[in-house]
Amino acid sequence: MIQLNDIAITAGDFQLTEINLTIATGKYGVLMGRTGSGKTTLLEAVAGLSQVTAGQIILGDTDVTDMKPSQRNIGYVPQDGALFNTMSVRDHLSFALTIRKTPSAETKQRVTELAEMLEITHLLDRRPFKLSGGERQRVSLGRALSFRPTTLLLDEPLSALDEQTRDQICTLLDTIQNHTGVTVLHITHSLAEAERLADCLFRLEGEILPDSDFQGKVSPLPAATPDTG
Amino acid sequence: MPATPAPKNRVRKSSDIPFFLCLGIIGGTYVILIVGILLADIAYIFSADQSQAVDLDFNRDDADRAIASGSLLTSQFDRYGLAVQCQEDTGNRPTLINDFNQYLLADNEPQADDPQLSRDEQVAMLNKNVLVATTAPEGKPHLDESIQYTFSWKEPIELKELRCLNIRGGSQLQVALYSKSGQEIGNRQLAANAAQVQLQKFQWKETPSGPVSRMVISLPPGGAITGLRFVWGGHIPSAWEARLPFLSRLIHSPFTKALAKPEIQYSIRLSLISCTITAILSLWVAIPIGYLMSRYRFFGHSLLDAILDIPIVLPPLVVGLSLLIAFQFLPVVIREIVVYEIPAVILAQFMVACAFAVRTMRATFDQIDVRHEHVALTLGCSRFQAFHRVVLPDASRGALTAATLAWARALGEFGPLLIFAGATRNKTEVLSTTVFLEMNVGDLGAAVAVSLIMVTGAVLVLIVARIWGTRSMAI
Repeated sequence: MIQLNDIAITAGDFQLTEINLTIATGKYGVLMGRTGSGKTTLLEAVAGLSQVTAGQIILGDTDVTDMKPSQRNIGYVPQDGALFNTMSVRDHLSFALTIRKTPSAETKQRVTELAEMLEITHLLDRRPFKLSGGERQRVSLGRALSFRPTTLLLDEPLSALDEQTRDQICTLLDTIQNHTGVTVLHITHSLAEAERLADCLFRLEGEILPDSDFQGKVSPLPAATPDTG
Repeated sequence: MPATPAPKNRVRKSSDIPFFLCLGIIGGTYVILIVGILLADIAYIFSADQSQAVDLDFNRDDADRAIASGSLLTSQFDRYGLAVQCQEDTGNRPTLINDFNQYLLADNEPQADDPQLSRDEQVAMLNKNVLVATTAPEGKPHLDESIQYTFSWKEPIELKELRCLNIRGGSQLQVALYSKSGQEIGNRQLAANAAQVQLQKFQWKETPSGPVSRMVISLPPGGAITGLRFVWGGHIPSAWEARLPFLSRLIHSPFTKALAKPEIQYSIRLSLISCTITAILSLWVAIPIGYLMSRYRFFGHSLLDAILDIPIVLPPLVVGLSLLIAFQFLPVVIREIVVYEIPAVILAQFMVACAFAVRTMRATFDQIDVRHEHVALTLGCSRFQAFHRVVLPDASRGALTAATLAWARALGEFGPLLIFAGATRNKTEVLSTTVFLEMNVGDLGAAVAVSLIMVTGAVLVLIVARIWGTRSMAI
């Protein structure tokens, strides 16, 4: 579950106040909003990367408002992936596990498993600069999922991709959520994307975050993919 | 009916050539200047006149060792390619003596129009070797016979002066000069007169129609040779050098000569070591400061930023002076360890070089997306882990650039060093100091040679920074 209660954020001149949002456990939430509406800032607040001035953030059944990012157990996929330039794909997938001092056999197994799920087994030894946009997103997703987080935060993961790749990644996101049952908060400004993926849809307009009129439109599926759980 | 004329195209189709010409000339001048000064250095080194003036007085040999009176003249002047022989059939051998006071201290008073030696001059002669002859095998050196000497050089020289002595007077002393091909190119005679003791200097303002390979001196009884002055090529070329003149120039250039000097070797060593230490120290300081300035905004950020730029804008001499003054306030023990010692060299270099490293590191961290750390934090890293595992590897190229930049700055540092560390040979002398010192003693060749060493170092650094460092920030 992702729950934001009366969140207020101040970053320089920019302000968000009284933000409320709830995504039930295992649901796919999509947050829409114009450029500059503060979507990314809000996402960073959920991840613990920027401070909230008021309110409460609850992930699962824990109040994480004052926790460090590392303690929140969230997978974060920023815009365009933000891959680590000096690491191979394999290093990306094992990074979080290495930090957690997971035994190497287990790490290896997890990397294999992730690579298969994301269909990037053949890329494991490549470095980021040799990856295409879609491949980068897959690696970034794999990195975020590697330590089995309960929450996945996606910041416009599809915006820089071409039509076809976008479609593939959409399908992948569906699959992932089915597989892992992770709660997702996905930011986008594309309605098509939202309708395709969302269990619940929110709009961020100005200072408030209304559970919008689209709330009912749970994945009406313009595409062929079946509904998500 | 005349057709209405087509409207004129009012856009003048002027040529673009003047524009590009302007760009080329204005920019090109500077580029030519840069390349030109470097080429001039190189040209100077390899075309420098290497000839040396030598003043032989027979007291010291070519390695500056004293020659004892009574020695036979054999290989003492080999380095100049000079061999001295007597006429073969007489059995005489060239010998150096200075115990000829029995001949010299004659009772004669100097006369105004007579070139004979005064008593003072004679006394001075007593302490000098002169070249006379001895009869083989163990005969006593003597001045009593007429002797003929042959001076021959392996490589032709330019004769400047020949000093001879004639203690009898009245008889002729003759000098003949020959070219390499054996042709006689000069002939002088000591005018015969009645004086008892004469010192004759044969002066040659210009080489007599070409370089001299052989000199034959016919001394009358009572004649001796006291010295000669000539200019030679600086080295005796070996056989291969005639075939490879360029390589020969390379090997016998002031460059190699400078490299062979122990104090210059010391200064090269000290420069390399101190610059490397400075670069490492600068990086050590620049990484944290650069990261702090790039990632965090805090009270006094702009002030700190300005302070970090002070060493860059401050006149170098002022940096040195300020260091010197600052150390006046420290305990004597520390002052004695640092000031005018090697630590001062490093500190003076560090003061300026570090500021450049800080700027570079800051720019490096500015270019690394902060989201990399954000992701690392969500993946379970602490701030330190995120920095150490994600940011630092990514900044390694920038760090290399910063280090090379600091190294290059340190290499060229001079003003602060001169004031704070002094310019003591074999102690605080680094390459820039060497240039200064060599210039001061008038050895332009060595100064240029050392400059070239520094140019080489700087170019290497430039290459390293260009190939492995961040291109956009490379110096």
